Amino acid sequence: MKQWVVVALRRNLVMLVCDDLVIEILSWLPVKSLVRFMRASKSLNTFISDPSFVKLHRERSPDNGKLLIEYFTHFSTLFVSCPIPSILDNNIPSTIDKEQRQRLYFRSDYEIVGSCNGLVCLVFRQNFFWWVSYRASLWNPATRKIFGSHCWSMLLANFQSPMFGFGYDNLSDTYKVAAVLPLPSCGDSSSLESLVLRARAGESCWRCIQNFPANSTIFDFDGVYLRNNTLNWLGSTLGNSNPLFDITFDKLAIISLDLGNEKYSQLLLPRALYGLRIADFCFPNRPYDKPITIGVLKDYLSLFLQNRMTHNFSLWQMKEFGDQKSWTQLVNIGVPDLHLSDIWARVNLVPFCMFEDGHVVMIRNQHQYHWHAVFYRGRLTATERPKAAIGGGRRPIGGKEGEGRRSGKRGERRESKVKEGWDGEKVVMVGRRERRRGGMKRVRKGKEVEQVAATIEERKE
Amino acid sequence: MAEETESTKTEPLKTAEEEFKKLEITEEEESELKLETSDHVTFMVEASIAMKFGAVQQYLEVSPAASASATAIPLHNVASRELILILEYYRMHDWVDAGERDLKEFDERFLKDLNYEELKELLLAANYLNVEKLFNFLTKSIANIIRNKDVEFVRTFFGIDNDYTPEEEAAYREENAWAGVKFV
Repeated sequence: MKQWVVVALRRNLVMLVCDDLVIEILSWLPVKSLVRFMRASKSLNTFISDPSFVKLHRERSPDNGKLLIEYFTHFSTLFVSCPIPSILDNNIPSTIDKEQRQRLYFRSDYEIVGSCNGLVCLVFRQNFFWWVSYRASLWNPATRKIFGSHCWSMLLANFQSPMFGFGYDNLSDTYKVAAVLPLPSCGDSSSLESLVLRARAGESCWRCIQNFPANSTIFDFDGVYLRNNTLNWLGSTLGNSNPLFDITFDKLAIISLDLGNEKYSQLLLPRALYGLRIADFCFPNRPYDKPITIGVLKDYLSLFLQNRMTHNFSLWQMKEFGDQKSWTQLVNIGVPDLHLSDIWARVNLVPFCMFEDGHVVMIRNQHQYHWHAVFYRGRLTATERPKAAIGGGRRPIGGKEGEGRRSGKRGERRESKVKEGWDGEKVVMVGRRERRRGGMKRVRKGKEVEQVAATIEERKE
Repeated sequence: MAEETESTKTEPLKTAEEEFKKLEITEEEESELKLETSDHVTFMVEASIAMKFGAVQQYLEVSPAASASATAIPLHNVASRELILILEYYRMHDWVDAGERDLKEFDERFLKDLNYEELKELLLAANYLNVEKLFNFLTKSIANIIRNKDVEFVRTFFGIDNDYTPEEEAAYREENAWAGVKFV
């Protein structure tokens, strides 16, 4: 009798190879198999789309570091994912490759907030007369699925456009989306209202947290997520009334939100910058080209500055989070020294990865369909100006190999560096969204993509 | 009926078991732990191997007296044939002289001898015992098996019921054509 019970129990167990064990097994599978198996049942579908599974799967997949490039066509947006090593060779995939590209049709306008652990946070914007609804969603470019809930939306007056931020909270094991509303909270002009959303299935909606302790509207970009559980913005500690061009760097600070306890703190900028006017770093009539930005390189918070008067590009890194003295200047180069073929003064450089030996790769985006990787090979010390110059290569999307400045041998060296230096960080970076501009002709479906390539060729000439 | 099959299954195993134990007795330098499986077979296992089992560790934490080998540590969800396999795996992987190639060959042979049902039962046992290395090895191998299979296979393999309506399924198939329609 006893034996029989055991047997019955065991059969049950075999039937129950579900949930945890199935998840464990599935986490080793490639994405294509996963998407196929999502069809097996609804519960499996929800398991696989769950952000926690995405995280596990990402940790276990050998592939790391992909760049997601966003292309605009007339009716939709195309996304192409591209491994970072091939970006370094300026070998950006064309949109013609049918296997790779993903087309997204959204009825409402959307904005990419950020990415973390392979998930991309999108915010959809929909207008209702005087009101705008913002709805956050998580998008997994690998499975091409969008994960979201109707509770994740908020309704604001249409003159308010919030700044968002997206990150993963290690403490509570959830993804969080933060929003900072641009209007000062009542009475106090130097702080802004802010909200946080825990992006989790069945979880509630936006909720108020401590006020954002600065005015950030002049910079207006999305929060930068750091591995130490913080989201960071740039802001001025002065009130709303001061115009941007009048302030100096000592009135600026990095506002950092601890995702664990949802409290803000302020980080000071490098002392060496004190006294400099921000106006020198801006294009007077191109406010959307943000001259002062922050980002993450090798898990350190970094500050990128491009001086429009001296045409210098400099990169600062905060080696110890929260310590003002630990800011180190890693790069200080004159933009003309880069020998970029375009009108260098209008170029915006965006550093996006850095190797162990201090080499920096920057991406320059000039206009809509034009990408460039620029390799900075100089010795990076605080005082010394770089001796070695830059190897730059160019290849317009869909076009043929352009005039690379590097020889074959150098190219090989770079290849090995990518392997050694890449610090194992798995990032999906999202191409900065450019403004939509004209120039695209209306084309028949199917021919669209080829047309894009053709347009680029034309533009180049 | 079920009782019969189980008893016929365990009998030849028990003889194998005794041989196994005899082998154990010859090397007596190490301290041993007594493990009792769900079909009431007791094993004497070297402490170095047994302590790799999370379940055993946990048991010993709760009742440290059991290490004095007088009482057997019960493993409720592990049958003797699975425990033999698990021990075999760990003996091989603990063996100092085993080269990487030997281990690879061993792993291949180890998998070859198992059918799907046995594999699943072994996975459950490994999960219960909380043995990380074997568990990862098994999940990886199962993933390799199902990797290129179709949905129907996965449903029967995991015992999942299809709760999609035909319309929903067709819509899903269309939407995800890029992930390989050829298997459907």
